[in-house]
Amino acid sequence: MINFDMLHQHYFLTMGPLLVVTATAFVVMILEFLLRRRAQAWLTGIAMLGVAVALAVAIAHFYAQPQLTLNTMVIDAIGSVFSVLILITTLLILWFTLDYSRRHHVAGEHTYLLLFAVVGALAMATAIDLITLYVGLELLSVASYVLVAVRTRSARSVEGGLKYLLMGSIGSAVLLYGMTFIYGISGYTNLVQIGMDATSLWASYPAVVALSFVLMLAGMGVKLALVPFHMWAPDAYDGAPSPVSAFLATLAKTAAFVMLLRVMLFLFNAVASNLFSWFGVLAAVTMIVGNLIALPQRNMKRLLAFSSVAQAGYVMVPFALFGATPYTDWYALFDSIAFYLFAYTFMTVGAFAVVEIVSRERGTVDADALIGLYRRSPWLAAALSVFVLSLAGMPLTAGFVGKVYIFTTAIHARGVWLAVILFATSVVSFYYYLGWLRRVFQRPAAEGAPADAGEGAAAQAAGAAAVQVVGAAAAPDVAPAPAPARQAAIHSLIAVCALATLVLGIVPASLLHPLALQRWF
Amino acid sequence: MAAHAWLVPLLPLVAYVFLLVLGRRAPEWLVAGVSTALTFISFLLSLGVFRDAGQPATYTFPWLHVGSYTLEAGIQVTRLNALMLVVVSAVSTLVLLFSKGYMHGDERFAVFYQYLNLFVFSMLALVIAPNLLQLYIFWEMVGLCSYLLVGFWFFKPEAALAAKKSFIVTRIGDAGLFAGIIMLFLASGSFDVTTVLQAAANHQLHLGWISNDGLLVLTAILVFVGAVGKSAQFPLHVWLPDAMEGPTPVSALIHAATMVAAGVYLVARMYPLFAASQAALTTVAWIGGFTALLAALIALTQRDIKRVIAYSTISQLGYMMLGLGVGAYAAGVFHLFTHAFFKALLFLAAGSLIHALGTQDLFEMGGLRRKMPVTFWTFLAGALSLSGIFPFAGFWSKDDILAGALRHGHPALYAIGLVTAFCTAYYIFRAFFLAFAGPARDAEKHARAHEGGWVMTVPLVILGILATIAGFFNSPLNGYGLGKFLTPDLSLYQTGLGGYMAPERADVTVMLISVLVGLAGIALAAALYARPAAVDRIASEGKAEDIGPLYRLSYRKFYFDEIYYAVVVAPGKFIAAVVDGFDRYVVDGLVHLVRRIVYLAGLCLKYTQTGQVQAYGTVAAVALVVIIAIAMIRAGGVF
Repeated sequence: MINFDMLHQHYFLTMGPLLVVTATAFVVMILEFLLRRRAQAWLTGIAMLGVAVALAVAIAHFYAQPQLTLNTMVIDAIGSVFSVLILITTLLILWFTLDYSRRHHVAGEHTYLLLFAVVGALAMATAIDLITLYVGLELLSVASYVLVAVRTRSARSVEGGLKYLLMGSIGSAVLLYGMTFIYGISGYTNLVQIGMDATSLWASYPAVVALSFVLMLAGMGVKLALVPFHMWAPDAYDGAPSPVSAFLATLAKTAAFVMLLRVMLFLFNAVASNLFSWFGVLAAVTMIVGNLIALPQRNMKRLLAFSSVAQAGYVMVPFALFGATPYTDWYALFDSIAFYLFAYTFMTVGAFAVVEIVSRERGTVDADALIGLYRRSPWLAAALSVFVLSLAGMPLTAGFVGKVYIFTTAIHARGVWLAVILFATSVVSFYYYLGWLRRVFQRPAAEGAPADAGEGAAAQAAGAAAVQVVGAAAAPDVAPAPAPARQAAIHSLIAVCALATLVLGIVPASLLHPLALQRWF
Repeated sequence: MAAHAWLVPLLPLVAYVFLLVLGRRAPEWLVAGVSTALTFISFLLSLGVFRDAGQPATYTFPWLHVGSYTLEAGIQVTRLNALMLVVVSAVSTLVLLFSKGYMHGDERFAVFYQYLNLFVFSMLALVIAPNLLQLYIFWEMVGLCSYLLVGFWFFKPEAALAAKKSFIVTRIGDAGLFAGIIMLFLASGSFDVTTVLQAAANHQLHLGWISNDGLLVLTAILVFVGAVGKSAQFPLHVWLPDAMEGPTPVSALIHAATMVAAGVYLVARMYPLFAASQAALTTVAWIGGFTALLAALIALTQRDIKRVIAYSTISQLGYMMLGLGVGAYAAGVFHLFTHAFFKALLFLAAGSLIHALGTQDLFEMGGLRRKMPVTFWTFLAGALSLSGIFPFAGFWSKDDILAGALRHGHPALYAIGLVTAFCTAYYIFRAFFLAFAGPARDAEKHARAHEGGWVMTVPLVILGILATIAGFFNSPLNGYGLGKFLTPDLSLYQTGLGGYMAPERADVTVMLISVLVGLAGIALAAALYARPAAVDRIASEGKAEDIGPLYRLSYRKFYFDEIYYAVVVAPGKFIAAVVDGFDRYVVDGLVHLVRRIVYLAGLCLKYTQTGQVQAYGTVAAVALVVIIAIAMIRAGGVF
């Protein structure tokens, strides 16, 4: 006789957030059928409520003892920390959607697809079975393909979605292929069981293990947009609605990182530690190419896409160090990965939100839309400066602390060459990030001209400026300038992101302290 | 109560943020009202903290993990810190109130209050910092606020220059302090003040390349260099008189009562470190004594009322250093305490004069006794206190220092102190008589003169009362209460600091000599400037006609500015020009070259992004094949 109550608690401990989000997703799906019209904001609100509950559950179980359910789902430090991050990110993205759906038509599927994607992401964070992990990944991926292509009237959206689908499918296939080798030589799909036999298996089949590792790495590389598997990213980010772009850049990456972390550590640690140098190679290539290719970009969303490619390269650096570091020093690696992903999430979502407002107001995603932002809205200019400086890694921002942490761990673990590349490419990245800031604080050409021109020319220029202003006002706008009150959602989102970026930058212990209390393994 | 001490600096910060949000168009009454009210609450809280101060109470939280070391942030309440909280918040409240009248109508009134609040926050946070790093951060922040406020009227070229000068000169000291802090950290493994002092007192500071005793002297001197910069001691005293270009309330708050006293506070805070090496203490004493005399000599002939008081500040800070240096710890801190009140009073009274007349030149004043009675009486109280006349506050604290110098066996320093006391009484009463006695030298200005509103007179009166009675906190009449209160801070550290206790009974002879010397100075000033017969002589001095070489030497401040320009600034400019050329043509050239190459690489890579998904797939597939091939070779073949 099974003690039902025990069973219940057990399930809820390991899968609580996952169950809550799943239930919310179904509720939202059904309500969407029932309500249909003009209920997008309500649906998003319900979704946010559900995710908030899930987040509360995840936080309540933050320091729970490791526990296993059905040999498949687990609660442990990796699962807890990244579940919390995934759910926080979901809240931010839904918040973003709340604003977006007021101004643009959003497909009804948008909200619950997002929630199902989150279910997949949570599974990736908490499963320890290759099959379950793969199913989680596919749930996330398939939902993302649809989310990118959801604006069926926009050619770029469909194009981006299709490219993402094609490349993503290749990635999934390669990943699955890599997993089959492991299953082939061990006979298990469960990471714990494989881990127990690992030493003998790896000694007998070094080539198969290496092949499997490389294939899985390449498969995950596509999902993470690591160079040279990154090329879908700019098209998908550019084509997708802004909240979805932010979703791809943050939540999808976080989930892929945690899955990679778990699989690689369970399967390939210690015995196959030399394989971890491949992470270093990919990290180096990703940092170099991602930053260089971003230099000539003028499209803001594409630039953020390349920037997120480069940022993923930074996060890959600690992965490369697992092989060369004794277990006792792994805490720093876990902490640095988690801290950077937290920091990255806030600054990236914030940057996407500012870009969304700016491009909406100016009707273009070209970086020149930023010119004069400081004069139009000092607040947005300040917020964008925080995000951009954090992405570039200036002190007093979260990005700086994250980078320094990765940098010092790299030095400590004798990964000096990676640290040098991290530093050098960060310097390169200043060029394009500061290019944005230069535009933000630059005077618009029309305003600067009258000041130093002659009297007649001044009158002419003033006239021209007036014409421009009138013209701009009269031009048929896609979305008429909304009242400030209706902008509250996105402005508060930006404020929260900016605040988090600054708090993590000024008092990093606010996150590092809880992380330090986690027993990572 | 100590646990709530963090509220004390927080309230001015709240005021700062509030004003920041309010913007610069906010009405004056709201700006001044909120600032004064919040700082006043801070003051009340400080009183509570002071009442309950006993054993050091430390409250910290982890701020930053660096490797295995955890940096902490928080507060520490010792007896000294609690006293400083009271002094700073009291003077701040009064100056914030006074500024309402003084800055009335200024275009950037709200900005002025923002800066002042930021300063008050930084200063209060500085005095309760539990570790050296936090102390250094706020040390720099008060420097920054000082820079902003000295240059507040930045459209005046002198103000902009003075702000720059004050910032750069104090930076020299800050560099020394920072080096000292780093060395103390390396030697003790901690930034925590208590830990560092404990290690210093037990002679446990240790670095590989220097002997333990040498290390003590070196770190103490480096910390003292920071104090020399902040407290404008010789040879870094040149910035303080120029800083008088700032609005007068700023001079009262920052450049008299609080920030410049931070150097003295630092020496007092780190006293066990200094006490552990006799050489360091002697240095402190002699630098202090020399500065006291030097500044007093310069003050004899200045004609700008604020400069007279500024040099007097330098001189009095020298006294405090002298007191600390000879081992009269409590006397030094006590003088800081009384000086904060009477010097803030003198500055505010001077501010009241400047506000009324629109000039700072003593030779354009005169005859204001009847027109500005409140200013007259309060200035008199401040001047008597500064001159060390019984029973005003300055008498008790100055006498304490002089007696301390004698008691600890420094007769030479005692003599210097006595000469300085004579000069002090002379120059402050010279200013007093020039301003208030005799006929009006500028009839037009005199006609316009009037007393400021209650916001200006009330702080004057309160400070006047304090300048009169503050001395009784540590007089023989209450058994040297303040000294008894303060010294337990030191007895935590076991280095025979018993010798630094306050005296048990008063030395009446020393007191009598001090008062007589002060009275002699006043008498000389009265003879030269207050007699009706002196009018002609004053007029010729006002026109700077036929003055002797000694007078000129003092008036030109011993040519320190000129010497520094020739020795430091001019060579510095030359080196800067050379480096600038190198930077412009060699470094920049290289940077541009690298930038070109990097940008070109980015451009090339951009063309790989064709937009064709077939190409994406091909790149990925080829890369995968290459990776597999390399991995297989490294694994030693497929089979």
